[in-house]
Amino acid sequence: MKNKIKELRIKLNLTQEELAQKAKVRRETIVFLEQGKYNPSLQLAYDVATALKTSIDKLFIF
Amino acid sequence: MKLKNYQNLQNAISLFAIVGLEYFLTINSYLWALAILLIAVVILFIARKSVSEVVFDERDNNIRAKSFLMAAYSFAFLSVVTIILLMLGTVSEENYKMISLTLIVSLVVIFGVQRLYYIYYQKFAHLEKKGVYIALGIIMLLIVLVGMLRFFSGEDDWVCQNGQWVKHGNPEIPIPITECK
Repeated sequence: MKNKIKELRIKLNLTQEELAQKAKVRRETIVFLEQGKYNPSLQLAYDVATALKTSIDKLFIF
Repeated sequence: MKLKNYQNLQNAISLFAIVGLEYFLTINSYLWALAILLIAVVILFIARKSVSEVVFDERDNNIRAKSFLMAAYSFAFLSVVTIILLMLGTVSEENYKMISLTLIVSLVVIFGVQRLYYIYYQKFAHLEKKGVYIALGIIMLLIVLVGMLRFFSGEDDWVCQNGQWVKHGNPEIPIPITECK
């Protein structure tokens, strides 16, 4: 699923490692999410959106 | 401990455990096999506790589910091949026959247990009174197990007691000709 994770993460000056820690996942999962190769659960989508100070509907392109 | 180091240790310990288990099982040293397994589990448990990063997340969980499914399918394929070989009579060695039969029975058990879990998660896991259903399920399972044990345990057989063959139940076969020790 296409998303703006990378864009927002860079805007907030966060590394993939830091975002992974905030979302309580492994860095590899953030890599896959940014590349749109993994569709997260609603919980993970919410955690990532919260870590990036945004909402799910603004983060993911449906 | 860093996650990368933990993963390397996990791979090394797994390899060590597999080789060790294989070796001690083939020389019938079951105590050592158990010890190897316990040592591996304890080391991995302690190592995992020392990792501060996330070791396992939802993506890993999805991958694990898929890989388990693929392993089950591979196992099923292997069992089907084994059944065909048994049917064709190409397996003549008794040991291989036993291994083949174990493989097939294991497959049936694995898929049976999987089916039980599937039914549980589909129909009962979300219910408020799931405890009652679990208890009922366990009771039913026990009844089936006792029935199977009764059927396969050789209740009706000749039993060796004090150097003599004693009739136990109503055996269909005649008294064994082998010496009773």
